[in-house]
Amino acid sequence: MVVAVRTLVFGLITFIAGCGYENDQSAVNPFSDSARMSDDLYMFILYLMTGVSILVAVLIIYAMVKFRYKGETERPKQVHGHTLLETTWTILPCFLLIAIMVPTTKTIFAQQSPPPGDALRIKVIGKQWWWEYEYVETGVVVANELVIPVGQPIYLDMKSTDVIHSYWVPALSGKRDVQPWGNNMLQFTADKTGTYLGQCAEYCGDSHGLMRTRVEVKSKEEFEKWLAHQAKDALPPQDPKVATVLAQCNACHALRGVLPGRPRTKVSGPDLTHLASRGSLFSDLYTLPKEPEAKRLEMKKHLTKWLDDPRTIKPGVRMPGHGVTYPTPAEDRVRGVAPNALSIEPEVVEGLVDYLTTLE
Amino acid sequence: MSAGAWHYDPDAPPPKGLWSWLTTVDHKRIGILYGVSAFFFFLVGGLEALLIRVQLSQPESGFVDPALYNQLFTMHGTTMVFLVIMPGAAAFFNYMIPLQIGARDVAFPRLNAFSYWIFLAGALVLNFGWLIGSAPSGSWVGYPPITTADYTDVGSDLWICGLSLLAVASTAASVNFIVTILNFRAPGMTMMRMPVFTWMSLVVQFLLLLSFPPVVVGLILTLFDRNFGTNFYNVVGGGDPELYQHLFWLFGHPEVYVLILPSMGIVSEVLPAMARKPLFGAAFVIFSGVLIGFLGFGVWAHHMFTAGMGPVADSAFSITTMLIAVPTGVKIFNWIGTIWGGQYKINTASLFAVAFIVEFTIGGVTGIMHASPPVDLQQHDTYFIVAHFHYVLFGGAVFGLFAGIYYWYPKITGRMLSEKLGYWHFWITIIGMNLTFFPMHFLGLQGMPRRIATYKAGGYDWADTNLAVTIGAFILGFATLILAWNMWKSATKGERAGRDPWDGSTLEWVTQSPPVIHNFDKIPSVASEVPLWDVKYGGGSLPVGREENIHMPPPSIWPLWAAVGGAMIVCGIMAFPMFWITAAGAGLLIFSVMAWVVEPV
Ligand code: HEC
Ligand SMILES: [Cu+2]
Repeated sequence: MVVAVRTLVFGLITFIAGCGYENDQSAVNPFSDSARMSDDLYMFILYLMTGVSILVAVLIIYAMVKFRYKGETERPKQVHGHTLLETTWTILPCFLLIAIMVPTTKTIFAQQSPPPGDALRIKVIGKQWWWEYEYVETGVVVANELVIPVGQPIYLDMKSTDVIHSYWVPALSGKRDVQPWGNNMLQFTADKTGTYLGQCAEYCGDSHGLMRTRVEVKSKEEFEKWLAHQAKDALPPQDPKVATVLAQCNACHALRGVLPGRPRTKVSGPDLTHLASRGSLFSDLYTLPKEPEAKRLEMKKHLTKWLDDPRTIKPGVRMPGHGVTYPTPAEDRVRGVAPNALSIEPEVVEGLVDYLTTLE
Repeated sequence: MSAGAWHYDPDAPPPKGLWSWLTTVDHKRIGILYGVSAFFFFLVGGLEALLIRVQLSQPESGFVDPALYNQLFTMHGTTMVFLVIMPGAAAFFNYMIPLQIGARDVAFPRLNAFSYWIFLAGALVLNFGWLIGSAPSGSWVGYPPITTADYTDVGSDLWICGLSLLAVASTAASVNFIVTILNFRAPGMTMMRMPVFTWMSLVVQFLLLLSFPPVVVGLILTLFDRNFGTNFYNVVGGGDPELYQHLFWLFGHPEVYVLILPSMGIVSEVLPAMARKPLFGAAFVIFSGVLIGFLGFGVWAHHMFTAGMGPVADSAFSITTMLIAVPTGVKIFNWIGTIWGGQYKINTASLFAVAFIVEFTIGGVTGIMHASPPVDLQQHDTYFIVAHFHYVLFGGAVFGLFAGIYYWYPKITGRMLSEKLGYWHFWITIIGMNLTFFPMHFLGLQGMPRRIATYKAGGYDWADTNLAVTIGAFILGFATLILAWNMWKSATKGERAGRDPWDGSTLEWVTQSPPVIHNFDKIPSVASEVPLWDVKYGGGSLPVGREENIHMPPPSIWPLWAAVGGAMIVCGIMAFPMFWITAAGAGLLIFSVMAWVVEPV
């Protein structure tokens, strides 16, 4: 109870002071041209509308107090209306609305103008419940963490392979639905390096709330370095048993240089080639520590559990585990998984996990 | 009930017992049935909301799993919209419209009973999923592909079929009320002398009549995709799920006005009665209501700014949306003008009416924010939107209904609600409502999407705010229990109301409380929009004595059977098609309608 009251009071103070907006997923803390346009417009309308609300509230409360019933026996003057007054308050709001509409329309067209020629084009694929990014020029494919250079226009070309998702990284841009029936675009130019958080904003099933993503905005040089590294293949595992097990993963995962091909189906999973180079696991469900050894241990812990029964970590996920048997699509059309289960001997699990943590 | 034998005896005591309720065709009793059902589902939907809030009160909470969470928020939204606010308003349409226009009943009393029973059938179908552990989980908008067979279970079938039944109920009721309002008015009651509540209700009936067809088409296409292998929304088969979004919102936006206009009508009744002064600029209020209804059909795609419709469509829908603010603003200022210069009596009904205006305005101005697409791209599908529509639907629609309850309860039961409990209810509701919904704006701005079952500990600063919201929700839940207790207790223990406790101006206050079955012994004639004030203060008079041979329709069980038949038709189509149920239902429906047609009246 005490905790609740304390939190409540603290919370209220936070709202009134208007602070607490500086988290990495805030829509009112913009770090790109596009997000700033939305924010400027929002602030403008916010001030106007706060004025309107206060005007209405003050007028009505004043009227209620001033003209309250004080036991009079005579009824008040029976006024039926006042045409001039009514016409005035019909027309005045129109000016207010025009003041909003003009910058609105301008911003709409500015945000949706064709991308400039030097834009970095990235294909975004939304899937239950993770994101895939493909850098169009280089063909590099990564999952769940987008890395972009600061100051260069970014052009996202987005599509879903299953249900509707919505791509939203508030600090960089408003959201846009990611649909299975056609491509949608977003464009923006980030103006500050850093990490920004985002997540799927269109309800998409069991793990909708866990469908998150991170965007790393890096300097141009660092970005180029990162991209060159991601273009490299992974090294195959030393242990032949691990290599055998990995073949099972190929039904859904790509591991460039180790597993053939890069299947991309409705059920396929993230590219694992540089899994350990990321700052998080399972679409930012777990953020990993920066310090290498701590990071390795964290990864090991989570991956071991993941390979055993992924749905305890992410409900409904379409990856089989070796410790469980999920229903097949024939048994459960909605949550079924094929193939039935991974078969990994217990003594190979650790080797497999260790191998995954080396995929820098 | 042998042929030709029915004769209405105006002096007979009102019928009693379960059977009399199952067979009733009296608009007042049907109104009570709607009201009680709505309040019951208000408690159900409220409980769902509280479970949602417990889950979100802490980050990474495991109170409910996501599959259940998704069912909870889907059913919370569906319940509050279709099973609470709509029937809550329908309760007042049924009870009050005939009284306000000086009629003895609605135009089609048995169709009216049928509407209620088919509504109840729809409500039960919607909630049936809880019993089999698979309630609807496609969210209240039910966008495919999530509602197609690959992504949701039988819950989606229940949802589609339940809503289709509700659509039948609303359509039948809307025809009924349109005919009633246009044809059954007392002598002298021109359209412009009609009470504003009845006016707003009339607009609502047209909205219902015109807006349900598109959504039912949208739903039936989903049902066909799910069960008969069609490809309307199957992208691989060349289908287009975006079509559904248009069909849904072509209904969904007018639906917003279906929810809010009745409350605007109620407030337009309560304010003049309490201020002892006619509604300021009644004609402006009425025409702005009509205009809102009209414009309401031209704004649907503002729910789809993130769908990528292109800058031209975005701009066009943004402009039409903002236009709606004009007639809405007119109403607000005219309401203030009604109190201005009056003698405003302070009581629970009048407080809720004023609170309606304030809270609704807050919901309205946030609406202007996301009427601007660049802003909406940040706010859409976040808690900012959740805050916005709860200000409109709770602070607006529900507060209006609350005002209506305090205002008309004396007419319906013959007793006053306790004002003391009323004040407690009011103030606790105000605190709870603003503590629940105001902080949600901040959550939305801080990046919290709606419909997420959980969020990360640390990182976003959402936890404290969410806890505050949860506390607010429980306060709101407690306030609702006070109302329930007040209504329960006052029904037998409340102060006697008499015919006209508020010094009202409209015809419902002419009748006894509660009114007799035939409402009026003689129908009064009307010479202005405040007929009863004319009588009390202007030298008008009421007719005396009773009309000979008052005719009222006999009770009938056939509407109930017809509704059962209708429910069987849709239930048979669902998940595991059992067409014999459908066939039997169709047979029952046809038979019942025949029986009701040949029944003597
Ligand atoms: C039936 C398809 C399927 C198979 C087979 C499969 N996975 Fe997955 N896997 C997925 C999907 C889908 C995801 C993404 C789940 C999510 O994040 O929502 C995933 C995610 C992962 C992740 C997390 C990646 C990230 O971005 O954080 C790892 C690690 C992983 N799988 C490892 C494996 C390994 C190792 C194997 C083989 C032993 C394997 N998977 C077999 C479908 C599969
Ligand atoms: Cu999603």
